[in-house]
Amino acid sequence: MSVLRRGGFLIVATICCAATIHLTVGRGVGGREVAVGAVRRAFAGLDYHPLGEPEAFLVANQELAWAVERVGGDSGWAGADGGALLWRVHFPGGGEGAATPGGAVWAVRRPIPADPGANHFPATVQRPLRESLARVFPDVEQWQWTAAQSWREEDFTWHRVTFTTPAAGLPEGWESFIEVEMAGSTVVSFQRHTEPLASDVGVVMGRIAELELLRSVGLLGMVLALTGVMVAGAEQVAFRKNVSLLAGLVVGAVTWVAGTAAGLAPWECALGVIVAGGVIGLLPWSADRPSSRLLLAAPAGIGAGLALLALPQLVSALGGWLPVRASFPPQAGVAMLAGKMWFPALTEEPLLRGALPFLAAPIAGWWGGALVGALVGCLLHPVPAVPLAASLATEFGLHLGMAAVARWGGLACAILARGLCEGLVRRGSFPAGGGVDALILGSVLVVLLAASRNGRRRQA
Amino acid sequence: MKVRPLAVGAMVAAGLLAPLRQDDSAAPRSPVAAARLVEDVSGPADLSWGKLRAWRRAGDGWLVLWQPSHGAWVLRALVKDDPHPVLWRLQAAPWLPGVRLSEPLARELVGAREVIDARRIERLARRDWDLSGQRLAGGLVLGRDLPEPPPKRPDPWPAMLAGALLAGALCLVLLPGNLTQRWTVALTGALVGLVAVIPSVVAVGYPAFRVGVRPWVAQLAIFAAGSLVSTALAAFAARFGALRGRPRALELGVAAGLGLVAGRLAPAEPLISVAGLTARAVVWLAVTVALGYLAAVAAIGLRELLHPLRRARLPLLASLLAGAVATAGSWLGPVAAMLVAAAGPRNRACWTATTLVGFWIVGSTLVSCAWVEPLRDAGLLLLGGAGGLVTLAAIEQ
Repeated sequence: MSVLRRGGFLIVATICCAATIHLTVGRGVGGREVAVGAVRRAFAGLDYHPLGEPEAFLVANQELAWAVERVGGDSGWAGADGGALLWRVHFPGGGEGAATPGGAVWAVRRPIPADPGANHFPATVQRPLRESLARVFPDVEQWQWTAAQSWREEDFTWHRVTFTTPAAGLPEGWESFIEVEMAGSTVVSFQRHTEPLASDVGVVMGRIAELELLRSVGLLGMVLALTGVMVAGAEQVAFRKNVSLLAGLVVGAVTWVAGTAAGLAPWECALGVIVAGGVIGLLPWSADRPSSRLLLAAPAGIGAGLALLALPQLVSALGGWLPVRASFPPQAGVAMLAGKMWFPALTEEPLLRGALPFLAAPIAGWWGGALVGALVGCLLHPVPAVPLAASLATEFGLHLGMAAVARWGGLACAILARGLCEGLVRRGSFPAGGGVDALILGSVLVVLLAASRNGRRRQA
Repeated sequence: MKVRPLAVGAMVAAGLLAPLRQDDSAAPRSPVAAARLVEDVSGPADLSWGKLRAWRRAGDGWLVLWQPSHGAWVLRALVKDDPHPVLWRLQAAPWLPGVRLSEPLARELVGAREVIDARRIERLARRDWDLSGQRLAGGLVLGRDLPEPPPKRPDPWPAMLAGALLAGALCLVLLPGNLTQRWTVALTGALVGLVAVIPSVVAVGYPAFRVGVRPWVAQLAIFAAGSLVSTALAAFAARFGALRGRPRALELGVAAGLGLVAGRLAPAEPLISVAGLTARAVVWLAVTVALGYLAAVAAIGLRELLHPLRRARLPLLASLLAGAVATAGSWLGPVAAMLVAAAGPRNRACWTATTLVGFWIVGSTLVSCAWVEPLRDAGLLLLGGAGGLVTLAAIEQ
């Protein structure tokens, strides 16, 4: 029997690891080397050869990325066109630039040389400027000269010129222009700009504003639930019942670390600490609570992640739109992803799957409380969608799934499953690379090991 | 000679007629009438305003808001009680396209003749101008900035109410007494009624209507928030219950008189906005039962907290009431309900607090609204409430 059980566990663990590798490896934002190479070539075209190994980091214009994705549909890189997603490249010896993951140079700025060459009159600058740019942009002759200004600084004449460029690869109605700066005879910098169609970007920005408003209602729900936790906790203390203050403190500290890693404001971290620490530390752990079956955590988390990743295609097939990627983080790194994975898991799961069902159980039963928790939770992190209900329904489904996990596997199981699910869903918004993949795969392995140990303890 | 009914009637009459310092700031017209005034005489003529969505009482005027169903712009207008001139302001979503006007053209468009401060704001597809408070979005005149409400000062009274409420909830668990769920049933019924009429109450959710947010989403948010708070209140009442007790007419008479005085002294601005609704009676009922119940639980907590003071408790409560009259403003009704109920016995706290809150709403409406519908409804409630109290007194005697 023990051999059978161990064999079953190994099969589950192998499937989980294989699914995790499938859902993580190669799903990040790639193109770092391509972008660095493109920026180097652009510098070379401007007769500048930057020194040293560059630093490259990912920057995203979230509204633009979602607008491109919505209009572009399934074609190509979701949100990568129009400069919504850029690798910004810094050279230690001076010079910086930006390029898309596909290798289109978006911006370049080089140090001003000591001798930038002969000055040009404003009336005659167009031809030398086009000739200089032709070494970087072969299609420069198709650009339309839109505006120009010139000024004098010390011994050099500066020119700033705006060209309207063909909007190839952009949705219909979108415009693209490029601003070029030239000192003497040297092109010092250029920067592309994308001007989206107002109605396209308006849909996304409008949805973002709407979801912010709905999120405030979700936060109100969390505050009300937290008030209930405080009252119940005060009751526990007043009746001198056992409270797990130490566990609450530990969970609170872990939550603070996760919130800080996720780049959240101190007040958000503090609120998370109060929520997680308060629920774990103050609420009674009565016998009628579902016991921890941690073996459910990894399969449930991976299954939920898989379902969420498949939903955009389903919604698209039904004629709607749901973003393929989660929102891009302000800074892309392993610590950031770790924070984004575990902060919502540590704050929302205890409150929505632990406290609310506990508080509502005498009135509406465990599932009544869980349903309220799912309704509150679905307002907290939805992404823009067309129709809006698609996004809310997706989040509601996730929270109902987590409620089922909490019911059959226990609160700890729900926390672990939610963390893994968040990691898999957010993976696509982080750069491709071993560190982030290792974090998610490592988390799955740790959860499986914990499940194995927990199973052995239960058996004993 | 039946003295007790007369005494109760006299208390209500005293609360209604007692001479108080008043600043004659009753709203002369309903928010709908104020909106009609704007539609008739002012506002941007070349743009669809959409429906009238919300209103809010602001000082001595009404802030009224229109928004089309796509939500891309919002028109707000301030109609003072002396309505000339009506100030209006259009807010347009930052992504809406427009034109890029130069400064001289922008000045020309708003008709600025003197030299004024000009600030250029670059948007995604247009250029906005702020010409000393007069705004332009592309080539669209947005009107003038509306006066900002004064920043709210931190108020100790809500914190005191919340603390006493927590203490009261604990008292109902530690020293339960003879608990009843009748108040829970009444509260749940009133809240269900409120949730049922929320679609016609959303007009008082003024801050929820924002540029770029479609009105139905704002209305959904208000509905969700109202449902959440109602569910939480009903769950709170179901968990903690209330103490069983028979009402005493004289106590309720005192509460009614004090409630009328409190409402007339410091009319609450949210109640003036509620008076503009057609479903005002349902909201009044729900607010009366909910605030009355919460004030009663807070009163039980405050009573136990002040228990060690023994004889000093009543003077302290009286001095707190005097302080609340001077500083509580819109919170005067619930605070007075808590303090007055804390002065009486625990098991009648709900009756006392609910009566005081109900008459506070009536007093506030009578003194702050000068158009006929809320006055009629408040008058009917006053007559019904006073009649009920007098009848109770007669039965007692």
